[in-house]
Amino acid sequence: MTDSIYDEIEIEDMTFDKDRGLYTYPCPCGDRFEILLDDLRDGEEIAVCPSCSLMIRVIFEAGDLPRVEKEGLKGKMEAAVAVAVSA
Amino acid sequence: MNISLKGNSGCHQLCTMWADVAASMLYAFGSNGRGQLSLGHLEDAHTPTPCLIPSLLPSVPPCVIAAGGNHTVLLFPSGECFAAGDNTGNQCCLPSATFPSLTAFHPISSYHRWEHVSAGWSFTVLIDYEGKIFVSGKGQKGELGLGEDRHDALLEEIADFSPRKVIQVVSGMAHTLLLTASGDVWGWGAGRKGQLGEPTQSIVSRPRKVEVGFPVSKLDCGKDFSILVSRDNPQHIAILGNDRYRIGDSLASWSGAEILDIQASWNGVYLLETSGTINAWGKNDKGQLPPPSLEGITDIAVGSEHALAIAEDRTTKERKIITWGWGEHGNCGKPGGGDVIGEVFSLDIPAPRNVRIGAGCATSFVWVEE
Ligand SMILES: [Zn+2]
Repeated sequence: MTDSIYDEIEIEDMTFDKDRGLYTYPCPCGDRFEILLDDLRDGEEIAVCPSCSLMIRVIFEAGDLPRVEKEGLKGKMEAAVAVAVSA
Repeated sequence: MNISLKGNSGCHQLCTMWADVAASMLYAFGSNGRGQLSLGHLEDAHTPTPCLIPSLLPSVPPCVIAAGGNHTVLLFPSGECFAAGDNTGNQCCLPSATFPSLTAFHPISSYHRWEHVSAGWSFTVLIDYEGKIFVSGKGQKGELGLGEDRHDALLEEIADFSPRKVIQVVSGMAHTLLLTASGDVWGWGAGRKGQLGEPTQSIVSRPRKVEVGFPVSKLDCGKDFSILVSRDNPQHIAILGNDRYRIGDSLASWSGAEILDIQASWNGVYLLETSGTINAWGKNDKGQLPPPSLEGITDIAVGSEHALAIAEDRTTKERKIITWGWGEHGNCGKPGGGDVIGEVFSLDIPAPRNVRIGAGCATSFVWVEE
């Protein structure tokens, strides 16, 4: 598994798309590695590229993730979206 | 990555060298999800494929092939520039509303004669013959150099900034460096890893002087580091920023031979010595570093995680174009695609005297006179 980890990237270097609740980081193939904020919250740390086999490990502290402030009806995602991240 | 062909040489002299025009061909292969190979479609190409070329593209060799994340920019000795690929952020210097992506090279503003160009992940930097510096594209980390809170631009001049006589511009993923004739370096963009020198600032939103400690003669940007070669002899080399692969330590024991060209991949540094050998350091899990036996190398083009070179046989003088490294998108030109590890792959393209190579994010370009 470690073989296929292309790089380890600090979350501060990733871009957060608030609308999609998605962290991304450029992949050397031209596409972007992606991981959902929700998945990071669930302890997942591997971001994948939809266009190639490469993956990165995201370096982050669970406590530093943007918090879910208000949980809507089933709007966990939407709530996360509303939380601004300091880049 | 910015591939400055023939080192730092300006474009002017190529113009006169190339009086009688022969037929030429531009080939591209590799990742093409946004049309960055200028093939007229969005499919990857696993072997060198003739590009779709507008009739007004000069038939002389381009002096720069600058490849960003998903766009490619060609600069010609005439000062004309052409771009292809992703333009959703105006990185091809055209309004994205009209042209969200370009699957074939399209001219960039004919109101300017361009002298230098570089391409980052989603932005382009252009300098005209008057020394005016323009940016186009988007970025959240100061990539445009236009100041705080400026995250997109359509071919906009960086005002109040005119360093004297820029001789080269290079961009990494999110930072840009300018080299002046006096050996000074200016930079802007992402600086969190120290790639723009001290003091470390995560976002350098306007150009600032990069303190290197010596006058610089050659430079390039890696993904999040800068590599700079001194002007004095013997030359020494400094790396600024992320040095996860301890390239700085390796450089300390480098022999100090004369350097013809220096280029950075996303995670490596490639030194082409005038002797025709390549010294390279950095990430090597996919064969990114060339086999040590290579010789007779006259040119290199380093992409994100792969490279191209022109190799000349010492005795027969026969030239060939070789590739190595990560080739998942067919960017090493091997039929069927795939990495080239511990060896090189020779492209099935004749390599005449006039040949140019370029490489970007899993993209490869070869210009040949036919
Ligand atoms: Zn990828």
